[in-house]
Amino acid sequence: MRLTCFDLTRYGKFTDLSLPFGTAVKGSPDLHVIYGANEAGKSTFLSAWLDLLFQIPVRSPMGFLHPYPSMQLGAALEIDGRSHSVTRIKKRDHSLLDAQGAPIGEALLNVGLRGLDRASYAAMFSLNRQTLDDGGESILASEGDLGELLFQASAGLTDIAAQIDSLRDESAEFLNATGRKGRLRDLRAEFDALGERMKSLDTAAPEYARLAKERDVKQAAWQSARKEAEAAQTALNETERLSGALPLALRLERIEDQLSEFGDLPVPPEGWLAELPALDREETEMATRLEASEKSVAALEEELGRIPQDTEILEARDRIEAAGKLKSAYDTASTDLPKRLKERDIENQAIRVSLARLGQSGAEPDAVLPEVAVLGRLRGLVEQHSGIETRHAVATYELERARTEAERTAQRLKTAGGSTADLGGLGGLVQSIRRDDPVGSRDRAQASLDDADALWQEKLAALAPWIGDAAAVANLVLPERPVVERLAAEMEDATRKIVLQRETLARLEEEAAQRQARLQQTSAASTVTLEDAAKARARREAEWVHHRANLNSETADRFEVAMRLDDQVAATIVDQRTQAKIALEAEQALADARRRVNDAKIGVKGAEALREKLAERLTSIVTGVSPLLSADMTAEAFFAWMTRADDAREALRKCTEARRRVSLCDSSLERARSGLLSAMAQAGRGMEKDTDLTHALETAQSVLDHATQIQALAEADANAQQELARRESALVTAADVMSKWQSDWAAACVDTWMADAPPTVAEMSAILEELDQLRRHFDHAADLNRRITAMETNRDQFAAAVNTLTARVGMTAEDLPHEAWHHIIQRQRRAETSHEQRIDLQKRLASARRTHSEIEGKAKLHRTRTSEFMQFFGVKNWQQTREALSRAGDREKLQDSHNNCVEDLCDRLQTSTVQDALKRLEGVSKTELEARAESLRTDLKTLRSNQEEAHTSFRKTEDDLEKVGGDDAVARLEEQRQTLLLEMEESAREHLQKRLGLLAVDAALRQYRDTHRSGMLDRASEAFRAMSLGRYSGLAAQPDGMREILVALAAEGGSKQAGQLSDGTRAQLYLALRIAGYHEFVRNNGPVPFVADDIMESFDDDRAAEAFRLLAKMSETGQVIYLTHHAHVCEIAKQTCPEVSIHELPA
Amino acid sequence: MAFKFVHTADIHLDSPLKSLALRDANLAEMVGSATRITFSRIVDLCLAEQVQALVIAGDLYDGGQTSMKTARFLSQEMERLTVGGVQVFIIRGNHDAASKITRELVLPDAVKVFSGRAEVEEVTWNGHSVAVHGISFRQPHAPDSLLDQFHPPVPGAFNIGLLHTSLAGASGHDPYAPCTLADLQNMSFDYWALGHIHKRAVYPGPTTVVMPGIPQGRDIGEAGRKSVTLVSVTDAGRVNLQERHLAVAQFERLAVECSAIADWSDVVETLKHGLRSARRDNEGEHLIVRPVLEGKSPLTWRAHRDADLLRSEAQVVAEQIGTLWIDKVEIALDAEAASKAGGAVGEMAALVADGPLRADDPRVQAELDLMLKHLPRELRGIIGDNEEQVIEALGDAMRQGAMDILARLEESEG
Repeated sequence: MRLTCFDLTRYGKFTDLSLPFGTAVKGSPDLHVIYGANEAGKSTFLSAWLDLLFQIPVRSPMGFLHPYPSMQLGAALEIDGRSHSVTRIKKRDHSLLDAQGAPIGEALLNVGLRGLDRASYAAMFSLNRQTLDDGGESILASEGDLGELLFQASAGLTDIAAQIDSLRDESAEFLNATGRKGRLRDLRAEFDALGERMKSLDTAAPEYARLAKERDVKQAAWQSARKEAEAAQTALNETERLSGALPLALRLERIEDQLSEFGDLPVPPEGWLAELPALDREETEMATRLEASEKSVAALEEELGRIPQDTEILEARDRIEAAGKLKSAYDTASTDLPKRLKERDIENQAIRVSLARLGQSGAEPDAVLPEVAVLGRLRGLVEQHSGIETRHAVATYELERARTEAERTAQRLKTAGGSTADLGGLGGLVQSIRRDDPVGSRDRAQASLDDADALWQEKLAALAPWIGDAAAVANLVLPERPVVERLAAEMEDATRKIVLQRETLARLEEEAAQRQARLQQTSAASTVTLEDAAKARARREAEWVHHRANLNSETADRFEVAMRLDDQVAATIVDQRTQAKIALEAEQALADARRRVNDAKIGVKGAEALREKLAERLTSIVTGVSPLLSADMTAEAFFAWMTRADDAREALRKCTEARRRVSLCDSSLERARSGLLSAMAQAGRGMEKDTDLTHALETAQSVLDHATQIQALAEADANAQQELARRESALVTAADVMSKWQSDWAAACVDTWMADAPPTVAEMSAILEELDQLRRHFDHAADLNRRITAMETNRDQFAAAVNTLTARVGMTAEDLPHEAWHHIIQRQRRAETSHEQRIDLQKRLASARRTHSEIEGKAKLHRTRTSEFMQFFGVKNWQQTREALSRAGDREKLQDSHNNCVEDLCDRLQTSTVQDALKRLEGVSKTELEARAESLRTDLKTLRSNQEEAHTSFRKTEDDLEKVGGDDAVARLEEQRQTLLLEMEESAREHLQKRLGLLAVDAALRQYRDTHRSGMLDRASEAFRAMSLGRYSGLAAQPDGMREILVALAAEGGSKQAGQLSDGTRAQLYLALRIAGYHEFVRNNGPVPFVADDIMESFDDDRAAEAFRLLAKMSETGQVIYLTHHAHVCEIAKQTCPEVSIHELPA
Repeated sequence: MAFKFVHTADIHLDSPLKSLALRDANLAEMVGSATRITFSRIVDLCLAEQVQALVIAGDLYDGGQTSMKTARFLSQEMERLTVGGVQVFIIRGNHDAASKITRELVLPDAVKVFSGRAEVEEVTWNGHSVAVHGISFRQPHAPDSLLDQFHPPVPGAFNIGLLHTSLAGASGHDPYAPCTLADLQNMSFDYWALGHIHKRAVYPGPTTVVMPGIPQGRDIGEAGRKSVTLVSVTDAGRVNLQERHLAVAQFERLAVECSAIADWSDVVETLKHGLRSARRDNEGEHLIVRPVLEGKSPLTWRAHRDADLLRSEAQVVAEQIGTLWIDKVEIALDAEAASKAGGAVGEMAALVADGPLRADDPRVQAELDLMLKHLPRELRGIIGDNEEQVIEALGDAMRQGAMDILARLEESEG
C-alpha cells in the first residue's frame, strides 16, 4: 500500500487540508518529511492516519472543532498497483466510503495492510516516541503479541501458532491430554457395553455342555418317579375293583329269588305288552261312538220332514226376471212424462213469437228458415262491408295530402334558385391540397434549417484557433488517421525508452560508485613483507638452537615467543595475499561498471534523438493541414482537433440539406395555390390573382357547400311528384271494390223470402240474429216430441207383463201394476229360502249316515284282536287278559336287571363267567378292602407330586437348553463390535498421526523460527551498528534462564542489556529492530507505509543522518513518512537523501 | 448326469465382516449376518439342485468362537439338508480344531464328520459307487503332510478326497497339511475337495483339484467375487464344474488413477465415475468399495487435507446407488510430482521431511502410551508388535501427520 494523497477534510484542528505525496519512482527513495512547528498538528496527522485506516474511535479526542457527525478523512491509496480513493467518516458501521460515497468493506484496507491490525501496525510501523519504546521493550522480552508478530508475521506465519493450537484442540475431541474425555472413550464404552450384552445373550460351549448334562440327569430322575407312581396306581385300582364288586353279588342273589316267584306264566309274543294300553283304550271308545252316531241320523231325518215347498212360483222365475228388466223404464216414464209435456208447450209458444218478430206470422218455420249456404254468404258480405268502405275513405284522404306536399316542394326548389353550374374537379383539388398541407410542411422545413444552421456555427467555432468559412471547412485536407496514430505510438515508445535508459544509467552509476568504495576499503590494509617473515623465521631457528643447547625454562620461554611470532607473521602473509587478490578483482569489476555506464549514456542520447525526430514529423503534418494551427501541438491535441473538424464538416452538410428542403416546400406551395385559383375561375368564381392559398381554399369550400344544398332540394321535389301519382291510382282501385260488393249482396238476397226487398246491412244483421233464435226453438220442440212418444210406449209394456204374470201364478189382479209386482216378488223370495234349507239338511243327513257305517267297521276289527288275546291266556274277558299281560311285563324287566348285574360283576372283576367272579369274592371283607385302598391312595399322592416335580425340573433344563437358539443376535452384536473396533482403530491411527504430526510441526516451527530470527538479528545488528556510528558492533541473543534475551555488543567489548543503554542508543536499538522487521515483513508480504513522528529527538545529527540513510534505503521498497518539528532534521534528510520530499504543515 | 455334489470350504460361520462401511446401520442390518445368509444359500442351492451331497473342506467356523448359537444354527441347516435327502461330508480345518463348540455340536446322523484318522466312506449315488476319503485336523496346527495317511482309491468307485491344506504355502505363513499339486494328483483320486485358501483355484486334469475359496469375503483383503463349486459327474465319469456366487456382499478395491489430473473437481469426478462403473461392473447384491487414489499428483496435499470431503462425495454417490457402500477412501498418491508449497510452509515441509523429531523422543512415546492405554485389548498392537515396527510406524505417522497439518496451514496461508 502507498499513500498518494491524504485529505484531512474535517479532523482535529484541520479543515480541508490536502497533502499530496506524488507518485513513487521505482527504485528511487519514496521518502517524505513533513515539517510542522509545534501545535501544527503532527501528532494529529499520525492519529488521523491510523483513524483513516482503522476507523475513528467512538470517543475520539479529535472532535473539538468539527463535531463527530461531520468528521471526515480522505485518501488516495495505491494498493497492489491499483488506485483507490477512499473517505472515512465517523460512524459505527459502514464508515469507509468509496469515491462515489458508497460504503465499501474494510477488506480493501485490510488487504493493503497485509492483515495487520491497528495495535500491530501502530507498534511496528506507525511509531511515535512512546510506541517506539513500548514496542521495543516488548520485542526484547520476546513476549507478547509484538514479539510474536515481529518474528512470525514477518516470516509469513501470521497465526500459525494459533492454528496449531486449534488443531491440537480438535485432536482433543478424540482423546484429550489427560485421557479422560473424547470420542475414543465413548467408542470404548459402547464397545464394552456390546461385549457385556453379548455375554448376557450368549451361551458358550462349556456352559452348554453343563446344561446338557443336567438335562440328562433330570430326565432320568423324572422317569423313575413316574414308574413308582404308576405301580402304586395299579395296586389301588385292584383294591377298588374288589370293593366295588361286593354289593353286586348281593343284588344278583336277590333278583334270582324274585324271578322264581312267577311260576309257569306263559311268555307272550314280543310286542303284546306294548299293545296293551291301546287295546284297553279302544274297548271303551268303540261302545260310546256307536251310540252317538245312531242318535244323530234319527234327528236329521225328522227335521227334513218339517220344511214346506212352493214349486209354482219357482218355475215362473224366468218370466219374473224378464218383467223386472222393464220395471225401471216404467218408473222413469211415470216421473218424467208430465215434465216433458210442459216443456213442449213452452217451445211451441216461442216459435210463434219469433215468427211474428220476423213479420211472418202464420208461416211455417221451415219455409222461413233459409238454406245454410245462403246464410253464410250473407254473413260474409256483412263482414266485408265495413273494410271496403274504410279503404275508400282513406284513399281519398291520402290523395289530398300528396297533392299538397307536391305543391310545397315545387315552391321551395323554385325559391332556392334552380340549377347550379358545373364545378368540375374543384372538390377533388380542395381535398388533395388539404391532405398535402403545403403550408405546414414549409414551416417545419424552415425550423429544422434554423437548428442545423446553429449547430454548424457552433462546430465552426470549436475549430479555433483555426478560422474559416463554410467553403474553407469543406476544402480542409486532413491526414490519414492511422499515419498519425502510428506516429503518436512511436513517440510514446521513444519517451518510455528514454526513461528506461535513464534508470539503467542511474543504477549503473550507483553500482560503479559502490565498487569504487569497496576497492578503497580493500586496498587500505597494512602490510607485512616477506623480509619480516624471513627475519621471524631466522629468529625462531636461532632460539631453537639456543634452547636445545641449554634446555631450561628461560630458553623454552624465549623459544615459545619466537615461535608464536613466526606463526603470526606467516598467517598475516597468507591473509595479505587473499586481500590482494580481492582488490584486483574489485578493480576489474569497477572498470567493467564504468564501461557499462558509458554505454548507458550513449543509449540515453540515442533515444532522445529519436524522439526529437518524431516530434518534427508531427509538426510538419500539423502545419501541412493549416498554417493557422499551432506547430507544437501534441499528438493527442491534434487528434482531438481532427475529430472536431470531422464534426464541423458533418454539421455543414446537414445545414445545406435543410436549406434545400425549405426551397422544395416553397415551390410545392405555389403550385397548389395557382392550381386552385384556375379551378375556381373555371367554376365561375374568378378571384384576385394574389389571393393566398388559405383564403382561396375557404372560398372554394363555400362554393362546394352551396352546390350540395341545391341538389338535395331537387331530389325532394321529384320524390313528392312520384307519391302524388301513386295515391291517385289507389283511389280508383278502392271505388272498384265497392261496386263489386253491391252486386254480390243483391244476388244473395234473391234465394230468400227477402228477394223482393233486400234489406240494408244493419237490417240484415238483426234478421240473421232472429233467424238463429227461431232455428234453436224449432229444433228443441222436435226433440221433445220424440222423447214423449218413447216414454208412453215403456209404461204400457210393463203393465202388460205384470198382468200376464199374475194370471199365471194364480194371484188376484191389482189396479196398479207396481203393487201387483210387489206381491209377486215377496212370494218368490219366501219360496227360495225354504228350498235352500232343505238342500242343506239333505247334505248333513248323508254325512251322518256315512260316519255311522265307518264306526261299525272299526268295532268289528277290535273284537277280532281281543278274542285272540283271550284265547292265548285261556281267560274269558278282557279284564283278565289285561292282568296276565302286565305280570308277564314285570318278569321281563327283572330278567334284564339280572343280566346287567352279571355283566357288571364279570366286568369289574375281569372274569369271563359269573361263577369265576363269585369265586374271587369268596372270603373277602369289605372293611379290610377299604383300609387298604386308603393307604394306597395316600402313597400315590406323594408319588404323583414327586413325579411332577421331577418333570418340571426336567422341562426347565430342557427349556434352558432350547433357549440357546440358533438365532444371529450374538453374531450381529459381534458384527457391531467389530465395526466399532475398526472405527476405533481407524480413528486412533488418524489421531496418533495428527498428534505426532503436531509434535513434528512444532519442532519444525521452532527450527524455522530460530533460522529466521538469526536472519533478522543480523539485519537489526547491521542497522544498530550503523546508527550507533560503530560504537556498538551489533546485537546478540543470550540465553537467560528459560529464554533468550537480546543484548547490545559494545565495540570495545562487553555487552549491555537495553536497560543499561543511554536513551538515544536505546531508541536507536528499537528503531533498528523495526527496520529489520520492516524489511522482513516487506519481503514476505509486500510494502505498507512506514510513518514515524519525531522518533530521533534523542539522536545527534550524525546518528540522525545514519538513521535517515537507513530510512531512505527502506523507502526504496516502501513509502516512508517522517514527521518532525525540527527544521534542521529536514536539512539532514536533504543532505542524506537528495530525493526526499519535504512537506510543510500550515502553522 | 450320474450325480452331483456341492463343494465348499472356509464358511467361517458368524465371523463378522470388517469394514467401516458397516457404520451405516442400514448396511449393518442387511449384511450383519452375511456368513449365515451365505451358508443358508449354499443349503438352498443343494436342495434346489437336488445334489447327492454337500462337501465342506474345513473351517466351518472361526477358532475363537464360543457361541453355541452358531452351533445350533449349523445343526438347523444340517437338519434341512438331511430332510432334503442330501448327505453331508465334513472335515475339520485348523479353525474348527481350535473351536470349543466343535465338541458340543450335535449333528444329524446323515452328516459324516471325518475323524482325525483318515477314513473312507463308501456310498452309492444314483447307482454309482462313490468313495469319500477325508481326514480332520486334530490340532489347530498340522505342519506335516496328511496325504500319506489316506487310504488308496477304491477301485471302480468315484474317489473324492477332502483335505484342508495350505498346499505349497506362502513363506511367512504357517503351513497347514502342506502338499504339492503333484502329490495330490499322484493319489489317483477323481476329485480333490480342498479348503483353507480363501482364493478360488481350479486345477483340471485326470484328477480335478478344486480350492473353492471362501464363499463370502469378510474384508477388503478378501476382495472380489466369491464362490462355491457345483460339481456334476457324468455317467462316463466326466467332471463338470460350475462356479456359483452366493455372497451377500462383495468387497472391491477401486483404483482411481489421478496422474493425469490437475484439477480438484476432476479428481472428484473421476472418483464418482469410478464408483458408478464399479457398481456396473460387479453383479453382487451389495458392493463394498474401497477407492484408492493412485498416481503422481500435484493434488496430493489437497487430497490428504480434504480426505473427509472425498469420503462424503463418495458417500453421496453410494447413497444414490443404494447398493454400493464405501469402505473408506484410501489416498495412495505420490507427492513426488506435486508442487511443493512455497514460502514458510514450504520451508517447514522441508524441515519435517528431514525428521525434526525422533520416534523414540519421550514426547512421541507419551502420545503413544496415552492412546494405547485407552484402546481396547484387541487394538493394542495396531502400531506394531515389535520395537522395529513401532519405530517405523511412528516415523511414518509423524511425517504423514505433519504433511497433513502443513497442507491445512498452506490452505489458510494461500
